[in-house]
Amino acid sequence: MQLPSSTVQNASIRIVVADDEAHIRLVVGGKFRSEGFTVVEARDGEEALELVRSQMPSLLVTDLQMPYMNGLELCTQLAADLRTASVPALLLTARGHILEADRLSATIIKKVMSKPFSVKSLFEQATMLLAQSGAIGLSKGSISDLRASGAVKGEAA
Amino acid sequence: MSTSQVAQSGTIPTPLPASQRFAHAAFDRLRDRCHGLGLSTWRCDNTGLVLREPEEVGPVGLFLQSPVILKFITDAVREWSLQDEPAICELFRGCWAIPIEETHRHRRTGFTVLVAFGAESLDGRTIVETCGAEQLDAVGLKRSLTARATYTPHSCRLTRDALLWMVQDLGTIAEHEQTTAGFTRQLTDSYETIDLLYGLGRSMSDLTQPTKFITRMCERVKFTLGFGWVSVWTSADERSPGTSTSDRLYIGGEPSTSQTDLESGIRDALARASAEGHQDSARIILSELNGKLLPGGSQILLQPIVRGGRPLAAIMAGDKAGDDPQVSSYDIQLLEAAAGFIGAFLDNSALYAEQQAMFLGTLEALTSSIDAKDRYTCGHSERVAHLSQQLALAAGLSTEQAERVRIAGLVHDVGKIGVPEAVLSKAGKLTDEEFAAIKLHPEIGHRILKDIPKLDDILPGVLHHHERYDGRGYPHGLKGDDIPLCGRLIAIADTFDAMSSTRSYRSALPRAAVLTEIQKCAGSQLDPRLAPLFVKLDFTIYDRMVAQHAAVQPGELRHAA
Repeated sequence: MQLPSSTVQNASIRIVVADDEAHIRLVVGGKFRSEGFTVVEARDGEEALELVRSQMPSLLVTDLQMPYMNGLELCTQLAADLRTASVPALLLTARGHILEADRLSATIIKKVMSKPFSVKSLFEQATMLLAQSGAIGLSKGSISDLRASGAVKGEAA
Repeated sequence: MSTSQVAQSGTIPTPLPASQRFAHAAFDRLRDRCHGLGLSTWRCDNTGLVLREPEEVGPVGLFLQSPVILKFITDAVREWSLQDEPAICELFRGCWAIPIEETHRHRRTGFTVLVAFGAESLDGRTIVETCGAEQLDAVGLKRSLTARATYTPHSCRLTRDALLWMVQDLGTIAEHEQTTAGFTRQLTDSYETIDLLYGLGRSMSDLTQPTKFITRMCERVKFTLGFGWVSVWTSADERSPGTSTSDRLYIGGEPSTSQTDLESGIRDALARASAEGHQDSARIILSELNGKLLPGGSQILLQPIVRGGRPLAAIMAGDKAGDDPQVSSYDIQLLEAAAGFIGAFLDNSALYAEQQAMFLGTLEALTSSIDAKDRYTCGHSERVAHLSQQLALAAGLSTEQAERVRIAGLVHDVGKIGVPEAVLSKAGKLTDEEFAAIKLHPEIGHRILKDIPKLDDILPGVLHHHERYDGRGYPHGLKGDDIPLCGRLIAIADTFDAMSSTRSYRSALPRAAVLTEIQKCAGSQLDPRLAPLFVKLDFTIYDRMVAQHAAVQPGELRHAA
């Protein structure tokens, strides 16, 4: 069976998923893998920093509370580095408080989502970020087209 | 996500890396397996500091813990920490130390040291000299070691390779266990949340008991999220049915703050949020109340419930149990949903009560206008309604069922609208035709009411309130228990009120005479089981109704008190 063209194209797109909770990495990473993306996982903020620098992914999905370096510090350091400043990040948080806009402006965070989240909406937000940065093309600029391509995955192209 | 927020962000706590939590467990597993292979086990950090000693007892244990052996181990570890690939080393002739690296985040953090004995070690000088220095029994030690002193340099290498694979596998297993534990925790929490939401959805259908719904909701949210207390506050402006006209606080659990403090704190917070242009529906997280920091660094999560564009109620939670007393996004999402439920419930409940009041008001207006046709029967329907309800309760019917009986009593004479006024208020004896006209009123009433939705269950009461227990009544001449219960209940109340009031054809009878008559009619006209219950009823409210109705009547008409 042949993979549809969109899935084959996705394979060249790397996504770093950083969370100290293995089950979150499995759920989030699993979703992107099933859509054909290449996923690299990090267990803490420092590891994520190294991975983003070495892998130059198209997207970083990161938790806020992680050992050694939290998601906010991570995304601030990445924003300060010219090479990684343009990598968009999606931050997941289980904290009750809301991060102030000025704290986010010095980071690469483009979107914040609260836990518990729906994996489908997370994927939708992620594809929107990928489309905005031009990593993936969306015909007619529509997310639903992309979702449809995911839905027919597995059929012969 | 809203950016408005009335609380300081606080710091972001750093979780303990899961791998550290699992390191001890991994060592224990390795040691148990090595023991089975006849290997002694140490756990050391990079500098050679011993973190765990071998667990052997007796001569072997004393020998392994002697300073000579300890120095061998420490030296070996220091040597290994300088090597990229630490190699098996011979501690003394016929005794080898096998290194198993411990790494954390790709960095070497220490070693598990395995000591293997070969046959040659038993004949060497080291054991004899050490035993001499430590005053140990060399013969006993050698005897204890003989069975396990089978290692050779070659078997040490094979054992090391096998153990390294096992360590790798154990690491994978530990990781899977950690993942499974995470999933299990998440799944359990999800079940709790789903169960809560399902339960709330189900209990929303009973609109008649807002207090019960809200209290239950508080208890359930507290239980699910692990807060010390959850409460719902409704302002007096709310004017919600079933709640009093003053502010109300429904509490599940015991707040560490006093109720008055809590209430004033909430009012302050809502007012402040409103003054600061805070969105009405946006949550508020309080770290202090009335200027005082909350105990133990805990927080209060306050979610306004907006109704008609105003935050007229709020659900809040505080004193969260567990390691982290701070409010999480999980708590917020659930409380937002709960607030939505309560808002919808209060709206529906208010609408329902309004509709119910309008419906009953309409029925009362209708029956009053009929009673007014005959000046002798003013207030009759209301009194019969009251007595039927009381009798229904005395007969063991539920509050809801008795309320339906009350409504049936209220409308039982609606059919009189189809009977000429001259007949209804005729002073003398009725002719056969006139009596036939009167006897039509149950059926006329039934016809009038039968198309009104939700009145089906009271129709039998209207149609059959003039049946007699002995079967000589009308319209159908039903007998005994064939007469619907509602009809039998109303019949007694109706008879009692008729005898107790002055009618166009006779004066009111005294209470005692009426009650004697009721008992006399038991079995013939009235249900013999209900009549004894009726005569024992409390007539205080009835008498008050009589007095009120008499006040609006001409003086000549009096009820016997």
